[in-house]
Amino acid sequence: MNTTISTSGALAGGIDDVRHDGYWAAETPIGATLLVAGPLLRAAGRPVPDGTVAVAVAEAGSLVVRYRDVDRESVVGPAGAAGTDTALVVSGSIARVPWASTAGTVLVLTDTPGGPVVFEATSDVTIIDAESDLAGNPLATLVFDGVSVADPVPVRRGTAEDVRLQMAAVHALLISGAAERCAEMTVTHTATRRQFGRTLDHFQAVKQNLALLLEEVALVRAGSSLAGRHLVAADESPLGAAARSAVTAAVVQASASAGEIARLSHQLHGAIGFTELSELHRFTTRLWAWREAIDSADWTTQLGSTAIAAGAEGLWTMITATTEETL
Amino acid sequence: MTADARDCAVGQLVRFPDPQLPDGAEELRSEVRDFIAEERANGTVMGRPDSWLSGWDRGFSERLAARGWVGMALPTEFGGSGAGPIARYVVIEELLAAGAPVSAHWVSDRQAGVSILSHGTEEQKRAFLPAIAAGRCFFSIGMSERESGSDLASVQTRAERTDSGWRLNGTKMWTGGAHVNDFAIVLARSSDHDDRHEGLTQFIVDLRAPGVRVEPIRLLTGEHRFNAVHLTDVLVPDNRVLGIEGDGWRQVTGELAFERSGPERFLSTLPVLTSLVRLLASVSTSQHQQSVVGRLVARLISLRAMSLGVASALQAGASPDVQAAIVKDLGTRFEGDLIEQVRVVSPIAPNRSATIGGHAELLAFALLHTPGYTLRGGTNEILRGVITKEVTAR
Ligand SMILES: Cc1cc2nc3c(=O)[nH]c(=O)nc-3n(C[C@H](O)[C@H](O)[C@H](O)COP(=O)(O)OP(=O)(O)OC[C@H]3O[C@@H](n4cnc5c(N)ncnc54)[C@H](O)[C@@H]3O)c2cc1C
Repeated sequence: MNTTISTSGALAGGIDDVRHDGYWAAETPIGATLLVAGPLLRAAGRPVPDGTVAVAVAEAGSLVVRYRDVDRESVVGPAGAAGTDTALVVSGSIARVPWASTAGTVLVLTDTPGGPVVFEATSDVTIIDAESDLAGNPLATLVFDGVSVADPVPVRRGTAEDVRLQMAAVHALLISGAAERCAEMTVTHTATRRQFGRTLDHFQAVKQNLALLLEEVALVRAGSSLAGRHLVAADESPLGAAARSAVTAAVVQASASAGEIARLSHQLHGAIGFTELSELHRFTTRLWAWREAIDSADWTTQLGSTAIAAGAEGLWTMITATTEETL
Repeated sequence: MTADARDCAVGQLVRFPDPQLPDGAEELRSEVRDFIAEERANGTVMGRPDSWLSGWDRGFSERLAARGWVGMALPTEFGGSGAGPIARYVVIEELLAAGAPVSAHWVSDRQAGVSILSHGTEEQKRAFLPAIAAGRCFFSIGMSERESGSDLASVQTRAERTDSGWRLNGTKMWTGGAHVNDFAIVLARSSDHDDRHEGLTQFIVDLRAPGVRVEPIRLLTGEHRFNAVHLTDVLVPDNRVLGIEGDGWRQVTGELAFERSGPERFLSTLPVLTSLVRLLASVSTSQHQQSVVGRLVARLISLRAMSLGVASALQAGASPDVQAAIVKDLGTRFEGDLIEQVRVVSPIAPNRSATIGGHAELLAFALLHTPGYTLRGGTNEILRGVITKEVTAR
């Protein structure tokens, strides 16, 4: 039996692409496109559109969804509810969707009376580009005013939960990329900036902080790489228990480290990093923004309660399974 | 170093190899779990923290060895199992997670055996390795001295030539297990040089030889785990010089990746988290308790991936010393952090005199061991120097 997690195929490259996106502070929803929309559409047997895709997940109660053409004569329709047509009418709004205002396609995931579905937002959906995140990148609100959706694609139950976790994993990978760039910029800065007649990196206190920075970056990288391997292995299948633990751990760790990485990078850059004279802020503001996008308290308590539920007998097994599950 | 070279160096440091478990790892793990369950039922595995410092049980070591789980990094020709670093990793992480009493054979298995295998003579290999692999021959490390801790190259213990070998004089400090072990690998100055890293030699010293006096030094808990080892005119025959005379420094620093990246650098206190989870599993928990456990588990999973990545690189023949230092700094801080965090959300306060093995006692025990995690095997401040050396001005 092969107990190694293997990375293969297009998705593996997707993991690196997303991390690079963070590393270059690129301004596209490439992570949602590659790691969320791709697997979601493949699982639903639909083609993945060209270009970038933003993914909007409706929280419970944020949308009102009903069937458009209820046919009272029929018994049970294709979506498992009364009706011969699956077309929907959608009202309500989904707030703070990253890049929805600029992406080529916006994919919406919502519950319906017949189960969860995805559909593409058409021009009937109003996209309000009103807000931005801590890095100044767009967070759009999608407004549905009785929008007709002709061809929603049914997806398996629990998809929303997986998609939320995948989106968080995308942000963990983005944090990993930006964190690496912060470390590089900081190492270079301390090697060139002189005070007291020497470069900063000659000083013991500076070395200590640099090491802590590098370590935290390595930790985030290792966790998100492990998570990435699980996402690749699962691709269009649901995430199993061990994969969920590994991915959740990566998300929690990225969120926990982001602030520390930003703090140390700024401290070691001195005043210049606190201004637009240095590029550093492009990365540290993203660390803060992506930490918010992860919504971490939720994942932390989830991981904790899973661990507690595993009990004294199961805790260690839960941890080892993250590298051992046959994938 | 140019900016590009620095970027590249940072990349190499923060990108750890992916953990690769070999075929059969799952099977091996479950065999070890069965063995531990049996031992637990017999009362020999008690889930204690810091069991690789404190859990001394010769019988346990011998039974473990009988299964082929000591000396796994040693080739079969010398009594080892030849299974290699990753298989060994699986076994030792199971033992540490369970809080099994592994301290008797720990140093022989992790360091002395590997060191003798790579530097020792054929005669030394035949004399020591099979006994180590059988869990019957135990080693101490005699490096530190009162004035030589972080600055190890300043050791004062002297080795002078005699007709048939060497005469050692000096005092080694903090020598774990010297009162119960058989031998110590002692680092001593055998000749003077302008470069302090030259002229150091490693010796295999019989701890029961005339002139060796072991004096206990007690821990904060009152436990007797380490010692001052006084060497007065101790005669060491030529065939007990380990490796090349004068080459001690290179030998000592050459195997740091093995000493620094293993699971003992982040699992020492896991039994305390296990104990907390045991308590919390049967009651309704607060969000705070859940999130503390969640944060610890997240860090543990990520750390373990790093450590296993280093082990995978070792298996492949690389020597990722600096990445091992990263694991050790992060990991040993995690060990202490775990205690602090568990303490805050524990329904029971630490208590030294509570029932042995109960949560209150384990917590007190682990807490009183806390200062050691970030000192032993090289302090965290020194490790950070090792790490930044790769990317900063020298
Ligand atoms: C539980 C335990 C078990 C041990 N077992 C053994 C054993 O079996 N055999 C053995 O030989 N030794 C053993 N040791 C000793 C251990 O290796 C030393 O404690 C360690 O190397 C640190 O040396 P020191 O205690 O003399 O501290 P010092 O070197 O005096 O350091 C004191 C403080 O100053 C800091 N410091 C020192 N130099 C620098 C510098 N250049 N830059 C920045 N900070 C610096 C240190 O980080 C530390 O915080 C053990 C120690 C412990 C705690």
